[in-house]
Amino acid sequence: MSSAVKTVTEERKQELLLEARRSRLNWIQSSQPYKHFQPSSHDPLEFLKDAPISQHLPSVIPILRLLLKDKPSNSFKTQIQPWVDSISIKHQKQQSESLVEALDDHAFAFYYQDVTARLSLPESMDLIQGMKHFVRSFHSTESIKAAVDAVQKYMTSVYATIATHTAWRGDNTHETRMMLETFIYSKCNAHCYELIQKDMQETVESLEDRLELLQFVQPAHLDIQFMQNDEWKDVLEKPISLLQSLEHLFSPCQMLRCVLEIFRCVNAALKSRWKDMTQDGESAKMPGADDVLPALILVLLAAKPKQMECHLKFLEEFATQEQLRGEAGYAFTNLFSAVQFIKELDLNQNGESEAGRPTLNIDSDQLKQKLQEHQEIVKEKNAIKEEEEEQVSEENKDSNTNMDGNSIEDSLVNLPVSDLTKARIRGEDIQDWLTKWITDRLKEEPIPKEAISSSQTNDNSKVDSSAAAIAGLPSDFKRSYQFLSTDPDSIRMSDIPNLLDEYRLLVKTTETLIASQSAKENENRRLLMKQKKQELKDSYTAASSDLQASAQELLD
Amino acid sequence: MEQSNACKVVLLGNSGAGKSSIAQRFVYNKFNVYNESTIGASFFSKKIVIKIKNAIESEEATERSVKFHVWDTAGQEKYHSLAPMYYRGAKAAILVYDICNKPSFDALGSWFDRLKEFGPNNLQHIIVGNKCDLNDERQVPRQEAEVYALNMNCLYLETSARDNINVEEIFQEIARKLPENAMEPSNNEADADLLRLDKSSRSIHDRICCYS
Repeated sequence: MSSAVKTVTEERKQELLLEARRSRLNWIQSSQPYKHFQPSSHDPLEFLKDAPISQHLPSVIPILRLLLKDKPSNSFKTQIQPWVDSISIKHQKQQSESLVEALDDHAFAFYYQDVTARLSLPESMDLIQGMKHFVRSFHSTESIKAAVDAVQKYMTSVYATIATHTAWRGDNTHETRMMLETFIYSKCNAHCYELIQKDMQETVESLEDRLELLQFVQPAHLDIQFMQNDEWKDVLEKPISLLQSLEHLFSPCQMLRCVLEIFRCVNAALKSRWKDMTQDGESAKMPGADDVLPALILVLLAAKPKQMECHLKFLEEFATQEQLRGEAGYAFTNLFSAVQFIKELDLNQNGESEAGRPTLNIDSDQLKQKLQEHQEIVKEKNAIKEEEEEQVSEENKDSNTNMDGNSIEDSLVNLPVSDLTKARIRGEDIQDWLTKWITDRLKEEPIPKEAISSSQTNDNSKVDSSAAAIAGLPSDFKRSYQFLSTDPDSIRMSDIPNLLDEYRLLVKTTETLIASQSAKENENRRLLMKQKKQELKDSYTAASSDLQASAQELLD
Repeated sequence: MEQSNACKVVLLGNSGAGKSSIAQRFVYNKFNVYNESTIGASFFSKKIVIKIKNAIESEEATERSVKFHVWDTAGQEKYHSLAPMYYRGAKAAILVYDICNKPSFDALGSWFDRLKEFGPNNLQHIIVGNKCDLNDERQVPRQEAEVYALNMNCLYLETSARDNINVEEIFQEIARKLPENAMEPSNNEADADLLRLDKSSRSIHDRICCYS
């Protein structure tokens, strides 16, 4: 009785399963949309500060000095680096804490942890595999509409799945859905923004520039009754910082919640101002829509958020109808209107405004003067920015020229394979031939900048493809190995054609390499033979001449 | 039999006509009092139940409950061009003017023009002359407004948010006229979410304790 041949032992199977599980867990944990809310446990500065001795000192600097006193001076920088890092981490933490306070996201961090804990259960394996597959296919969507359809359809199917899933026990609460959405968007968000940016038309004047230009605007310019000209920034501090934090959020639900919070904070600020005013005996109309929109415009001006139009477009496209209903929808519309107001604002300095375009409460001479002042500021800021950018590119250039010869060869030269083959056939030394070829080329045309930068950004899995040409490999060969780090679990049936293609290409490449290797060996052997033949010939000539000489001698 | 529907209504009109007061009277039954429970003074939501008579007399009248989401808009001239963004998905627009302020009545024309150009199809229009308690200071004769409303083919009501006259009626009329198919089902979960978001952060923490 013949026993079946076991290709995979039980241990190996266990090992593979564990490996797949580890990779799934890494995938789940690589997204941290609520990373602001996890306490950082390795803050050495915090550790020092908590030490009893620190209680008696005004700051930790003396301890630091003591700790670093005996170190040689050249290692001081490396010694101090962790402390510098920890201080910057602390600064980030403080910033995020103000965000936490405003959003009260501790609760949501809790829900998020709960959801990831359940995603990490072995029972959720099918869900995670599906998610990974979806995320991969999502990145190939080419239009916003296709992306919206795909993600919304997928979210609906996820909610349907968890309703009957054993690991979720029918948990379909609002929080769970919200956190699942956040998780999926943390994987998809970058592609969404890529599509949006592609879709957005370049405007002559960017919103950021316009906001910068309008920094002189005061409550009185916008018909707002509750804010005095000097105090509004303090009163609206919280919504301002919330609006700035919008760019750190991933999913429509998270962002809409932030927008709603901004709206409520503006309302609360207006309400407290109204209370103060009526207590002082002034009669004032209650704050309402007449005040909320202008106050939101002030918030926008003070916050100067980055990529605001992209965020709005993202919400408009990716938030569901259901999410845009109710108060959150109203808050979103108000923010949208505030941006629209800034964009449409008529800044015609001749005092003749176009019909239908909103204007500020300011006479034309004053507007002219203010705009001129602020245009100067904007110009200066842009100049500084450009200078910085130039500096950065200069530095990049420097580092490029410092690159050693080999990396230049590898990265930019697109070698003609036929020339190389001819050289080889001629029996030239390939390394010498290459160096000569490159020097000739460099004389003809300077290296294009993009070629340098693009080759620098290549990651490990996509090793520079032009290098393939150097060794005379097949023309379609690329050193990008799609499945190099893929675990067996995540390979799908649809991957098989790609996998086979890659396999065939690798076989072709290997065969080419072997052929060229044997050609080289043959060439060497030929040379060796030639040399031997020559030697033999030489020795024969020498011997025969010797023979002739000795024969002559004998004859003589 | 009860049906539940959500309906978005947008308030339009010049500053000072009393849009916010009408909404506050409708939702909180209060006038010019800043209630502690008021979250914002520009977005309101309230559910009302009306009875609709059936075509067949012998049958019982149907009850229809409508959850109104009232969107107030800024009335200052400089923000008028932004109003179309607020119309999207609205089922009704309430155009408010002050009967003691002729310019606010004259402005209705431009509001209608914009509604015609940018408003959704099948949007109900209602003209409301507010502050009818100040009849002595009236600048717009009732008849003129009624003729105008007739020409625009829409309902006209005179209200007083201060004295609570005809405010509830505006919304009852809207609810009655809503075509069955034009209404979105009021999603209970979304409503629950609205309530949940209204709660203070403390209650969220309380829930955590229960959860853990």
